[in-house]
Amino acid sequence: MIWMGIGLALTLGFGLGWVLSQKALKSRWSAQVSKLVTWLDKLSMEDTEGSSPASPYLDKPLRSIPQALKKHLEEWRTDLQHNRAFTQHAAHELQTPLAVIKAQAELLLQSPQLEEADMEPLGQIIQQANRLSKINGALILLTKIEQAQFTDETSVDLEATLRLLLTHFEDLIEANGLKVDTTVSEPKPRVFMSQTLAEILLANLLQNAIRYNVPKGWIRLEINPDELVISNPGKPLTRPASELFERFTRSDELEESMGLGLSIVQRIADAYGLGVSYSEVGGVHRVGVMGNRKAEVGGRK
Amino acid sequence: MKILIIEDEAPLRESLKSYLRQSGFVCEEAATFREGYKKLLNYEYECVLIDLNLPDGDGLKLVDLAKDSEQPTGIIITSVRDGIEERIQGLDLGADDYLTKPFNLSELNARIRAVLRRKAAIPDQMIRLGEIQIWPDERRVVAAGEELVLTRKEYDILWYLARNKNRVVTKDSIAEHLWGDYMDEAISFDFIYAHMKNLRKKLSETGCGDYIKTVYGIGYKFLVP
Repeated sequence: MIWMGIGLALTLGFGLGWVLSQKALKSRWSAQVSKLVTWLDKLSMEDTEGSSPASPYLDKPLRSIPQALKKHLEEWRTDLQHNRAFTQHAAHELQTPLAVIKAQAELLLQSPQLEEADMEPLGQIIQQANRLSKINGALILLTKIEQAQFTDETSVDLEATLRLLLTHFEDLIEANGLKVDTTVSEPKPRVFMSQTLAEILLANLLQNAIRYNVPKGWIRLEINPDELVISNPGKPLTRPASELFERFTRSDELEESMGLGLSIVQRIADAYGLGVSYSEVGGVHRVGVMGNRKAEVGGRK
Repeated sequence: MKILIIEDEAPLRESLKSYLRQSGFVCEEAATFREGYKKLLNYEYECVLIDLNLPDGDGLKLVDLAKDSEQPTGIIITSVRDGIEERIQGLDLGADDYLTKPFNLSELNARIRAVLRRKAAIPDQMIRLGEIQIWPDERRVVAAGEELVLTRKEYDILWYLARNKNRVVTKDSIAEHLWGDYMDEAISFDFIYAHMKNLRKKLSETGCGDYIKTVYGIGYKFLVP
């Protein structure tokens, strides 16, 4: 009996011990995994070499993961840099031949020997060369943003910038019969970023609001301390909203569009840690640019 | 008016030369830094176009040299580099304007004329085109003796066409001149059309002759005898 009792107690004890140790192991494991996840969250492709956060201290089977990941990250980063450098280089190389085509075509246009019938195709050549140079210009801009090549960074007054752009586009707004309604609540948002890029970002958004509006429609600009919102009525999207900010997606209706405007917006926002949100409710499109307090204090992300 | 074109890309240099000659300038050319340097040392020019990326030297040094000439010389930099730094650096060195390649010849022509006017240092110089008089400093226009009230864009179009008188000016280049790179061509062309309609109406109401000719599908031409 006693032996049986001891046996049972031992079995129970071991069993309990095993369960308990399993539990301890489990919680140790989950602590380790969550350490790893926290570390992973902090990793970014955009970091410069060697600036990734220090690897967490982990138990043996997990220990090699950060090391392996870092190695791959370094490789991806190099690839990315090569890709960007290639795009930038290729786009720059295209500028000179484009300049030649444009100049020669414009010169030809002045020729008194030009027949009436030649005008139309020549006009097409000029127009397409211009489109090409605009696309190329946008690509160069994109790579420059990605490579952080803008140095005119300052504390940008978004409201003042927006007002400047409104005068720039006033004739366009007027001719479309659009009503602009601006509300500003203090303190006005300031973002530490390149003034040039701030203008490009807001100009793109404003232009979209004008372009994809309805006749005699409106544009609402809300400038809040931590968010700038541009909304306007328009036709519902024909594509998923998630595709909007990708390169070269565009509305089929307006074929002339370059399809790079919103992707430029996204890149600029990314470069300065500004969030861009988009929604459409009941035919009203709303784009919000979220100011990032950190961006104001700490500069470039 | 004598202009020196320093540009290493032969076909571009040739078209610049032909275009500017047609616009009434006397043009000389240089294909290299050395050639440009020699010409700037030995001759005087009213205006110099300097390409920054020359095979044998930095165009910025030529800007320095051109600035030191005895008579005031207008300096316009042309470059594929469109960075803010290059622009500022160039203008700091004494360049009067900076054009990023690829550019429109009509834009270049307008800029050259604007630079020359500034360099001549004659304030309030009036431009007369047939029955139209323009005072660029005040953005003032008188047509057939009558004061014209123009919107900003209408004035800009008139000024641009007048600067490129007797030349075909494309819609693209007008759009770029008016709105820079911001504007989509789809909207801008409609706009130019609308502004042009108003401008013509205002001009014809004064009884002044019709100088603006439409070149179908391409753009416009400001015709003055």
